[in-house]
Amino acid sequence: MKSKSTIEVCNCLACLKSFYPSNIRSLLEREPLLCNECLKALSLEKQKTIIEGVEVTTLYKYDGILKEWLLNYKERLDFELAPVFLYVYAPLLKITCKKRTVILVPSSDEKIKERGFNHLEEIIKAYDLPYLNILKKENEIIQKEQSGLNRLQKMKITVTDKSKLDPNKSYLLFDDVITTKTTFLCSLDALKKAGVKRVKGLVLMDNQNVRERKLL
Amino acid sequence: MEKFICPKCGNSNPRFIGHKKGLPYCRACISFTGKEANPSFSVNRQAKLELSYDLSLEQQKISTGVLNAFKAQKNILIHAVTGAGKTELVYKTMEYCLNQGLHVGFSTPRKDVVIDLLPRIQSAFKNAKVSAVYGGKTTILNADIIILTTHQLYRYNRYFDLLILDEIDAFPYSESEILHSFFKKSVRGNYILMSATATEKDMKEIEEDNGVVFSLYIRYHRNPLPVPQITIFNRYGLFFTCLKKLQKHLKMQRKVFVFVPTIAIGKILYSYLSIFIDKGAFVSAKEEKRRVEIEHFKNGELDYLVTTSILERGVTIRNLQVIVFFADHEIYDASTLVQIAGRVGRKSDCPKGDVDFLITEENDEVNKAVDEIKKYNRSL
Repeated sequence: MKSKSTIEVCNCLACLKSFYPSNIRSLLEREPLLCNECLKALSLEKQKTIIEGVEVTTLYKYDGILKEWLLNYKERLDFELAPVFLYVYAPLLKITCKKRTVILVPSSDEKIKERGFNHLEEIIKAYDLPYLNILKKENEIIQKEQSGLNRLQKMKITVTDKSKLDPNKSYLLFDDVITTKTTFLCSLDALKKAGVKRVKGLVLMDNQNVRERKLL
Repeated sequence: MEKFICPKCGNSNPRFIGHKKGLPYCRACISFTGKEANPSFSVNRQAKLELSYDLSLEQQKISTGVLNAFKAQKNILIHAVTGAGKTELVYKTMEYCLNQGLHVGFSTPRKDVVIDLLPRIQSAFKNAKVSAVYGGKTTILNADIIILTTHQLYRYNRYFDLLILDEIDAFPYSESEILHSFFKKSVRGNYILMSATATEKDMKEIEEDNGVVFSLYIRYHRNPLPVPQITIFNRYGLFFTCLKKLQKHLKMQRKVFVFVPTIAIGKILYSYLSIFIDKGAFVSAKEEKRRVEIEHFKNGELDYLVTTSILERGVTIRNLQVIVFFADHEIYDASTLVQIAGRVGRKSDCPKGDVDFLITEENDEVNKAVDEIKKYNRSL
């Protein structure tokens, strides 16, 4: 038990249990946020897909515990969960973001008001990554009711502050889940119109393949 | 800063309190949000209790006692041994409440117990509307009698005039303060607690909270509880012992539960046993097919089940034998072992059976469980 006395008790952010991090973990991580069980339950799967000529990295499989956390975070407004989503990938992202700036996919103003916070902004903020919140969604259509094609025409995304965009810099467009990829594509369009050349995508989970499989 | 206390679950532990833009909020009960029951639901007063069997003398006595205590607006703790017929003891009180138009709920920590209770209570109250509410089935929230897991109690704020809580010492209710506070909050009238392994602390608490205790140490068929046999062997020998015992039971056409402490041990044991004996299955909380396997076992298609503690409570199967593999594992305490031993001999047409505890070394909890069972048998 002597070795344990030097290690402080940590509380898991997701399951709220207290735990003792192992020696290696306490050496590597400044403050361990997740307990071993929660880390194990995450279905990590880093995948690269190409959407409309843009390389998009997906970080997790669309199942398991992360879906539940996202529900708690976005719908039940568990604000403190924000650092959980990028916890595993934070060191990697810190390196990536030395060259790239994150741009957030917009949510509608009503949603942000309803929640009281911009959920994507808080996720990025938790790790001090450089980000720009310059996209704005205009005509909000209820996402689930509209079919893909209709929405493409109706959704309008604009860049509010073009002076912040530098065409020679690289950017990383960030969204939590892509389902029909409409918002994502419209955001890409808006960025390209504003003159951005080098852009990549970063998504927590990809729901579109799952949907297609279900339809089949 | 002023101390924040959650208005919903009463939590004030700073570990479970988060801050959203400077404002505190409770994280402990955040997943307990959803549709709530309609508080002005009116109960069908015509409900009548119809039992196809008679209660024993002791059962009748306590059942009347419970009803009188409820009428006197007291809280009640029923401490009755496994297989004593606890559920039947509260039927009379439930009938009284329904006839008065009061809200009746029957709660238990385990989902499997809720599923098993539904047909039993429906057949006792044929003309009442009985509904089960548990994770995954929460569409009908209002009914004459609601059977629910303790996790769903948050939907019923100050709703129940009579709330029965079975298996008070079962996980997760026993360790969760949130569930305790939801239980307290959903009671408008009085409550009845039931347990086969109530401790002195439980009894003291209920007596302080305007309550009375009823005890029943005899099974309804007046046969003694089966006393466990202990077999001590080394780790690897136990696998062989387990196989031999299982084969002996199956030769005599008996059904067997083999309890294992963890999922990992269960998988190893089942893969070993299934080489020699087919018609078995392994069930645990993580297996998706568990309800199907349990149904198959009840129908007689399977002969034995290797199971984790999910089947330790509320299961009644005719002519069942029990083997507890590694009964000295640290997850088993005396009350769990008493519960497991209580699965045996519950039907009056085969009141006897074998309980085997397979252990690697002498263990206090195992001895305590055996002593407790012997103590109950002495009062016969």
